[in-house]
Amino acid sequence: MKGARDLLADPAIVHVVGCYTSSSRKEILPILEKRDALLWYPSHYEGFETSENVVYSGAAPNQHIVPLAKYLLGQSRRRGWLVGSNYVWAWENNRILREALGIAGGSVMGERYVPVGETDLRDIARQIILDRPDFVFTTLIGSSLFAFLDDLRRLAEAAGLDQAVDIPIASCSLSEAELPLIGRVAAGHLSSSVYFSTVETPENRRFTEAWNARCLGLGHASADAEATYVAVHLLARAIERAGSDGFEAVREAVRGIHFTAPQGEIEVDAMNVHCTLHPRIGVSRDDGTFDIVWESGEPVSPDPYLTWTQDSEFRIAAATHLKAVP
Amino acid sequence: MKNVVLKNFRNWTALIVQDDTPGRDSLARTLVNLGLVVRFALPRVTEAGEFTGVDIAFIDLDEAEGAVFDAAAAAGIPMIALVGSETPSRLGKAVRARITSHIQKPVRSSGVFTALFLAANENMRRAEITKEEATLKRRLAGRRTLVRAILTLMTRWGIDDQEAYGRLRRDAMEKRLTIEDVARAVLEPAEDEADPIDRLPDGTGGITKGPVRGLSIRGDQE
Repeated sequence: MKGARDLLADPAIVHVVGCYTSSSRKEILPILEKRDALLWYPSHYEGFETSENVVYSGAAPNQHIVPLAKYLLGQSRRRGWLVGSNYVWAWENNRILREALGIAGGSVMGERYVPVGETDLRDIARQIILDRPDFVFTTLIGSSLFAFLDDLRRLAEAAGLDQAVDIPIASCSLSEAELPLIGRVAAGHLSSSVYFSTVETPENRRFTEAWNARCLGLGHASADAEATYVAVHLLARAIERAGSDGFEAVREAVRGIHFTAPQGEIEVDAMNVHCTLHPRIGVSRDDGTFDIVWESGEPVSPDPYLTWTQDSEFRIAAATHLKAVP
Repeated sequence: MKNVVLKNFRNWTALIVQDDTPGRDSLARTLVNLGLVVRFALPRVTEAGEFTGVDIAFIDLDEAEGAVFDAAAAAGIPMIALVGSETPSRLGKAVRARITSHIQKPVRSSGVFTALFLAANENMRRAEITKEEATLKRRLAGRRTLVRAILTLMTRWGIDDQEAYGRLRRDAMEKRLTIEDVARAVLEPAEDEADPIDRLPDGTGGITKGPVRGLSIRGDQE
């Protein structure tokens, strides 16, 4: 916060690429508004915001949690257990998933929040093994996540279960950046993301080669890396289009801009200044990458307030699987 | 219905009653992002007809005249005040108009969803309360009639008050009428004793002697 204030004290700085958590973004928004500065926010987030001072290059909820909910329902996984770190990312994703399950005739068997940084999650893991849900959805972050993945796998093994198959853990934030830190239990987890390092496009081949040459120590290229790369390119294009780097000129110029991103063709929505992106579901591997098991046939327009997401989509997703069973 | 929370305002029509200002554009853009259809009206020329087909109104508290609020209130829609001067004269106007929510001027995108969310839900609750109030008033008005109907049935059949009330209630449920309506029918003067509708198939009389068709409470003890 102090860093942001110091940085923005320099009147020459109009554009800032950064922020990861929503709370950090919300904290610096008033400074951006006062200063007529633009934040290029390169992270998936929980939505419900369309600030005039932010360009959002990461996924909105209809591009991460909604496709994940539909994927799980399509796999006939209707009974979920929700475990999260206690902050807005978890609350909002859990709300959306809970409603999706409710609409499709599924249920939430348990829902638990722990303080950020909590690493004693064995009681929760034990309860989950007893309840045997169809899946676990987690919004845990950092060390809490690593401890939980380890506990659940260990307890599942002890109970004679194949955790990755019997009780898969799904999330909208597990990325290539975390996999090397998880260790022995890194493989077999579901993640919903618009980008994985294993996306097969010419742009991504170029991007991952450049990434691997310089940053492989941070793990393979992740959604956050790609969204940041995209944000910088959008900024450059918008400045070029505007013929100026001024706040208003650039903010107006960025609307509707197209870009060939590593994930595929993307476009900045002219109204809400989020991006049209390519939702995918990956399963983590022990080499620190993801196998892509599903991807949206069409790029998906951003719907930050979930205004256009229909209840029927979840019912259809749940019914599609039933039809497919012989 | 009590626990329903409105969350999606897709295809709602919003009327922004405000002069053309940069804040108005910001408000309109955020509302469009939220899926609403936006219309504009100037704060001094708004007529009652402007609110036809409108689901929610955003009204500039500094500029709009009292008639604008009256027209919105008559339409029964939630009203959100766009507040500039935080003075008792302006705020008093908001209170008298029973404003449901507000946004501070100049309007930025943050805060719009909250104001819309609170106003829409508060207005729905108020509509429920108004409906309940009307029901309670009707019940209250019918209480004297109900007491007289119970006394009449007690005398007619020599039953106690609970039995009399039970019969009225049963008949109301069967006929899908309010108990007050049934009570009123019991007390109607017997003008048309021969009305076949008021007779039961077995020839015994119904308890309602009046001309209200279809009303009959079985006179078991006759």
